[in-house]
Amino acid sequence: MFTFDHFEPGKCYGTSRFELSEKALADWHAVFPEDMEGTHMPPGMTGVVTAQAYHDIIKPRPSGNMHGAQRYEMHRLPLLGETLLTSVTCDSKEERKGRRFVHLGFETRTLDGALAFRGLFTSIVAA
Amino acid sequence: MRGKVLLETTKQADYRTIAKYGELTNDHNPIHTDRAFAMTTEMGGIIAHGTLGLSLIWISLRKTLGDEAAAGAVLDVRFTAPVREDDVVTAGGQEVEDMPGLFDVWAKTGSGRIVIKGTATVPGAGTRP
Repeated sequence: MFTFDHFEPGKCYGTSRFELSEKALADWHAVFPEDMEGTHMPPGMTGVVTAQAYHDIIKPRPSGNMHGAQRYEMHRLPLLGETLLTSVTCDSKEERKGRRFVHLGFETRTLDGALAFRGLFTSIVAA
Repeated sequence: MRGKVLLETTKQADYRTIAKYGELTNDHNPIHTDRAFAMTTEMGGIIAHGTLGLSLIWISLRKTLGDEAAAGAVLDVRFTAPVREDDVVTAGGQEVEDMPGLFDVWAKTGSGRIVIKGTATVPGAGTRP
């Protein structure tokens, strides 16, 4: 169970695969028809790619965790048709004022190893 | 010098949108779709995924500044309040005065409650004097 105590700073917990297919884009536009069309991944899909990686890898989790903060660094927008690999690493963790914070690093690359974007997520862990 | 204002993006977080976003992100936490369960939590009802509002900030950045600018952006935000079922959420931002390319960004509900707050740094997109 991915409780606060379970997380080990510096440890990579795995890699998740995401196909930036026409279906994936269509699913995105089904929720966000107001986003522009194009040949590149809409930058808003960074949340989809990292969320899927999180749910694929960081499980099981206690209920009650909350989003604290997120930071994204874009290096390039992937092209339609590319395969993305996202690794999830525990960057650090801390307790502050009675709350437990875990900072998870996400790194998304294409199959040739080129960096697409990075994320750093701060979660307030319930247990 | 007054900087760029991001074009706003608005969306209602109705049940269908929340459920579809959950499918998109593979997030099936019952707090987002199970009303009976959500009522028993401290939230007292269904809430939208936090990144749903964040998506609207990205859409605002993209439609104002374009893909080339978004491709090099750094977005840094805090989630400050939950988005409740049927809240209408608007995202936008404003370039910081005398700091080209640095934008204050936000997402807020119709009542003015700020749900996401932070900055976007977009190299090359700054207003030139």
